[in-house]
Amino acid sequence: MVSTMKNRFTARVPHCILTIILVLSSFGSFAQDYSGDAANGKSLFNSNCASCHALNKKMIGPALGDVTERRSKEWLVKWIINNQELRASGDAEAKAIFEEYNGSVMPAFPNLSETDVEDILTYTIEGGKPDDGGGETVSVAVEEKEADNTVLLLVLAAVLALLIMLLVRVKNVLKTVKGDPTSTLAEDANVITRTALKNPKIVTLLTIFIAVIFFQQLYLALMAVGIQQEYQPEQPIAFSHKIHAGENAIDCNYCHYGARKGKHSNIPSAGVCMNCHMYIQEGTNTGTEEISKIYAAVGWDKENSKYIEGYEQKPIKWVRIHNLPDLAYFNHSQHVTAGQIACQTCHGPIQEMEEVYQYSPLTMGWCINCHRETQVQVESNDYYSKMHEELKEKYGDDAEITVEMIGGLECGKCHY
Amino acid sequence: MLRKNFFAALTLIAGGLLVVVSSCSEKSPGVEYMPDMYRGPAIEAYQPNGWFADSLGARKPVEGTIPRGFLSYDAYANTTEGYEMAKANMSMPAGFPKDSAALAEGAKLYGIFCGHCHGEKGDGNGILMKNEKFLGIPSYADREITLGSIFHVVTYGKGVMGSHASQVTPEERWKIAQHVMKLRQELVGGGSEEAAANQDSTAAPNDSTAASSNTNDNTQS
Repeated sequence: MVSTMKNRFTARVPHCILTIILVLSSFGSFAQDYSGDAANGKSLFNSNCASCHALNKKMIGPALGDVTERRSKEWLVKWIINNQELRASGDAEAKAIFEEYNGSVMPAFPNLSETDVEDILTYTIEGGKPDDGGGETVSVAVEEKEADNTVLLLVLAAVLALLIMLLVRVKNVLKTVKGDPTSTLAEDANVITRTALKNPKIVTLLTIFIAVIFFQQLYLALMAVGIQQEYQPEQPIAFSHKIHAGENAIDCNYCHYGARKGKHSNIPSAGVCMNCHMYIQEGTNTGTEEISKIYAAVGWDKENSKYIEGYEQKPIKWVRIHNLPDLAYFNHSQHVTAGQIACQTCHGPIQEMEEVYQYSPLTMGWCINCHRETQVQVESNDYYSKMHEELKEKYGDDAEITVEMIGGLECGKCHY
Repeated sequence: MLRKNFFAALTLIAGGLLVVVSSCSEKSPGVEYMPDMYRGPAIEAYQPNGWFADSLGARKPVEGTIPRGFLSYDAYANTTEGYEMAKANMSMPAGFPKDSAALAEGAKLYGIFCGHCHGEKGDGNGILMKNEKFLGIPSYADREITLGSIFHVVTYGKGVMGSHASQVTPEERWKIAQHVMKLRQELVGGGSEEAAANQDSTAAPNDSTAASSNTNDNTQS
């Protein structure tokens, strides 16, 4: 048995070699030796090339995973170090590439040595392999859902029901032993309820108990009318503030650039998304699924990295979360720029929210409380320099100036 | 019998109310007392607008609208030639502040709009680079840049960087540009900055074939 296997194996070896030779020769004349340091190549690639090139897809420039098969090493070295010189020297291939990419200019890299270039090219070969040892598998953190305890309660109910049935059985067995007539569960329940309802004390207690619960629930329900705290609507795109504002620490004002200047903290247009997502085409949590919704909205052709001409853009219908009544005036710039209040003061830990919810109640009591307690940032704040002088005279030099003292409780400030 | 019915009715009401209250989910905004008072007929930003067929509330300005004090930037197109022209010829127009306050404001704006990619120091090592979201962001020290070219890139974008014209006004762009030049000077150091400036003036391409004679990054830095 062993010997036959061995025979088979040895018989296959020449086939293997033949296949390898065939595959290698099919690469054409550019199958050259690259023996650079792939690790160094990777870091050089990431810092110099990756803004325009990827290994397996076309971006600003062509995909480079198989570039060593397409071009000769000598040509590549020349092109990478100074492609403009190469084009000026009249190289036909170089000119053709320049035309193919609509004259977008690749910078020269005089800082790279020939060894560096070889390292990079080695990386383009090694890095493209799917089972590359360095390619770490990204483990996606599974969001721990809040444990749903419905199942637990059902199980508990079943156990209790079982217990009742068992006790009824036990009782009946005891009764049989004693010689008394047995009764079913329903009959027992009926007797107990009737006896209890005939007792005025029990009825009164029961009525009070039910009434208290009733009015408590009624009170809570009525108090919640018009308050949308914790409102967390489903958005058309599963945008995660946790990834953007938390993990990647992008400033809130980058997307909500209107908050510094205007009444509204604007909902960013899809164009702002595209500032980064022209490049970042795969999301941390959802891969391409959610990001492709932005592309569908603006008409971005991801294969050719350009906007589709004449595309009918489809605005993204974000659902507004904070619905302050029209009867109250609120201005973001007043709080963000003049007041220097952090976004999180009202919006809560946005940088930890996978899905945003309304953190604050947005009730008048909540506004007023904050205006009573919050000190105005008067120091080195141009908005209050003049007012600060007057307030110092009025309240003394070291007085703590709260929003209330500068008129933050006047009705007309918010209602007019 | 009457008592029994009362008891049953009360239980039903309490139970029903409990169900109603507990079914109020966070996916719905809930009810309001007087919606006509809360939501006036005046149209607010970001609400659907029935005047338009697409009901889009956030509309584009009418074509040809310009803000007060607008300076046309049409002379510099969103092309390689436009970039080279801006780099060589454009300086900050009069009227834009260039004092220390402007520089401080520029630093603040840079932190908001640029730092996450280009890094606080301008070395291309922002947090998105560290998290390997964006790769290959150049250090300002390795690029030949001028106030004009920075303004051009912020306005139109370049490579995989998108246009930031909607986010920062021209005045803010000039402030950012001043801060970027300061960062570059800090990265490069005083001496080579002068040499770079000389190189740049000799490289000013004015002809329309600028793209092919583009000396973008030929200078050794």
